[in-house]
Amino acid sequence: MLFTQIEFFFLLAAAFAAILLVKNHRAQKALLLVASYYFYAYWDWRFAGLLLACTAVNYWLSGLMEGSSPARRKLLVTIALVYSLGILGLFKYFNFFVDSFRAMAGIAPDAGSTLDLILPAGISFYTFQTLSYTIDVYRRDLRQCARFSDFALFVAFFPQLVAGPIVRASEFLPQLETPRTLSWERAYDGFRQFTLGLFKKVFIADRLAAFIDPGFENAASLSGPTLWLVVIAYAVQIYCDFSGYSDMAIGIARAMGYDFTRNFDHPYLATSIQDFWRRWHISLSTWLRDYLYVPLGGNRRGRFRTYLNLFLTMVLGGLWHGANWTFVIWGAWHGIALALDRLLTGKDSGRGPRPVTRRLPGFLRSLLGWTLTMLIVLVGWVFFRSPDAETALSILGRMASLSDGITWYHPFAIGILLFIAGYHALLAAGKGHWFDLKPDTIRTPAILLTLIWLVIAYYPREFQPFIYFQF
Amino acid sequence: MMRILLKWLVGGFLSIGAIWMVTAVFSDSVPLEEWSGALGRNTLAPGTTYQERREGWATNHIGEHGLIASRPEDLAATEKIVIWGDSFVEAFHVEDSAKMHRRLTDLLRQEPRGKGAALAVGERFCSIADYRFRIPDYEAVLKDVKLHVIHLYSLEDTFPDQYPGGRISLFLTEPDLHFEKYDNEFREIEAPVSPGRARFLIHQYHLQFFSRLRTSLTNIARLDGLRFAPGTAQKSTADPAAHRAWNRFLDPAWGSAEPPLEAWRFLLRELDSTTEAPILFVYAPPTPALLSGDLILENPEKNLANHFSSLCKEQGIGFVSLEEPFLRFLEANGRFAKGFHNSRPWEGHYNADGHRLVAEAINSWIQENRHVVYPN
Repeated sequence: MLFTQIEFFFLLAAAFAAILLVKNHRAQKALLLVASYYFYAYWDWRFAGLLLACTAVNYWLSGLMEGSSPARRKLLVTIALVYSLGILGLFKYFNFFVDSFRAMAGIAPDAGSTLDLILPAGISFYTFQTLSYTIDVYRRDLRQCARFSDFALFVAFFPQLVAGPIVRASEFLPQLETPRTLSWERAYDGFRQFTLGLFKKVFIADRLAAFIDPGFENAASLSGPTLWLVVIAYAVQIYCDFSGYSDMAIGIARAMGYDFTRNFDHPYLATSIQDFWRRWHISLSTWLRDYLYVPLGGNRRGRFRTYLNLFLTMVLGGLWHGANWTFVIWGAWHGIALALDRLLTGKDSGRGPRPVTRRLPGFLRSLLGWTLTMLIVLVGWVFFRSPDAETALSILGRMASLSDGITWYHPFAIGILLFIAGYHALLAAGKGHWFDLKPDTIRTPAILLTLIWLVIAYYPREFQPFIYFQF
Repeated sequence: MMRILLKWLVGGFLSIGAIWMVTAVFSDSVPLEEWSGALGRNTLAPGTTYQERREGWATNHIGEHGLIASRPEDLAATEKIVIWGDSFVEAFHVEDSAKMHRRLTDLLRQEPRGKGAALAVGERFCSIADYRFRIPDYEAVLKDVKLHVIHLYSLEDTFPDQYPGGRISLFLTEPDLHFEKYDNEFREIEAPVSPGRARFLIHQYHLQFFSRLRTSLTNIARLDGLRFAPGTAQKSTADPAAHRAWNRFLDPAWGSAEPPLEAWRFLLRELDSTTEAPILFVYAPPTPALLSGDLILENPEKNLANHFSSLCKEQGIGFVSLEEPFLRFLEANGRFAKGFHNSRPWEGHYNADGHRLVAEAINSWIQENRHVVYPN
């Protein structure tokens, strides 16, 4: 079920009605759990069993850790990792590895068979979420959750189930221990954030698809400048699509009395690639930092090892996004960029090469950093969006030539890009407060309701799932 | 609390004003129809306008008899060329002056004879079966029709048993070859559109947003197309590009279909018998086209087009193919004759260049066949 589907609004209304009418806290949580499993089963009821199994196994194994010896705890966490990553690997990567093996071994693509499995929606998100709980319990950073139903709700809570943000057990489980207070303030905050997310997804991201999809599909026939425009539009689309989903999830949760941490912080204002990853998909980047980069040694084992750890973390982060070499390359590209960023700015030792840019005035340094960061990000998006590496390289090759001018300027895409550029310029100029939507001004309903009307009036005719659903 | 509610009420009204302004400029308007006693059917209401925004950007002026972009002097001309077609001829997507019939009129006026004018009877989804029934009605109303030009985008229209259930007349093979008139044309007589209704207000004041909102809310209230039961996901292997409506004619399987020769002979005979004026088919192939990154130049319908052209010749009906003009235009300019910047500039309806090429092709045929068009 999509947040933009009419059916979802019925579910949402029913969930809110249940919370308002049922006063008992445990009954409220039980109803939310039922609503969450219905939300998931709506897409494919068979995979609700998989979700339940993943939840139950992790809960059981982490329960066994309580009072166990260190060796036994290690064994249990290993079993949990093998089980969770095994399920993820089977559904998400089995075909990928089989196909890659065939290609390397020179076996014909149609020889034998892959399992041809459908990827269960949100499996990457809820696997990471359950794993973070199990690892936290193993590390004794978190106590075993007292009630299985609470843990099941933490994993399946429908606002964040299929596309994040990846919520940490340490943040969410305590919220389940006390009754939630619903208030007008929370309801308004939730409505505001949901509306902004809905607008970003339906009006901006989905409508930009009319330019981006045919642009990538027919890249070989488009000029370099046109492809630049397509790739920039894609950068806006994926941001609005994913951050729009996060906004909607955070908004719904907030109105219901639960708080999620923010998942995006204007990533296209980043002035370095490290800064970008502090602003983009924050729940994933912090997850990778805490559960992959740090266990690998982080920056504690020398400079070379730091760069290697960064690279490996980003490669695996890329692979998390999808079973395709393009995602691996995308991750590797960012890994190299992060390592180079550390190397060139001398962040590791303090004795690193003094960057030439330090002699520049602050504004110019920021502008240069921003330009370079955006170039890295845009090149990365070409790999991220392309069906294969060969296509991505061909697109980048065409983008290198700026001779033919822009041959296709989609007016809506141009308008949106100018709007987004203007918005970011104002934010960079410190005018962010202009966009504060306080409930007690006339401007706020005028803007929010106009955004809703725009969504209704320009609701796309073609079905557009959230981009991150495929991950 | 009351103050906040009041502010939200005012803000709500402001938002309605804002969306009205936005959709009035950036959305397709709602066309207004009117009963035409002379033609025995509903047509676009003369004197109104229709704005197209989804594909292309144009404001269309509706002339007498619901004819799009027709001027009084064109209707008064003593030598009229009538172009028949579906949405390609309706041509909402380009400004009036760029439409094929206006371009053709411009070309005809450059002739020493200078008495000709072209008119377009285009309506989306209509097919040859509709023209078969409408030609006599329009001839009676327009008078002095010297040539009927039937525009075909692909040859699908000429195949029998197409579009079951559509809002159009049909060309059928059962029990034997025949045309079946769209019966709603008769029903319209019982319920002509009244200009006083909500649709008129929506049209007049560009309230298309409210029309859209009403439709959405009505569908929600009716629970149309909603599913509440859990389902099972299906793995899709379909190539979305190949399944878009425009690209179905690029499928080699379609192009290699057996030509329905008997049906075509019947169709041509029937058309010929409906009018004393000569008939010319203008055939637009689905190529050149871009499909999944590949430039397709070879017309998959070539074999079908050759057969149809031969039968037209047998029947004494003109046939012009736009295959060469479209290819030459692409080679010379690097642009397609179809598509727009706000859709896809290689796919869809004709852009201004496409309309010009069609008009030039018709004019060339007229010049080469003056004895047929102007026998006196």
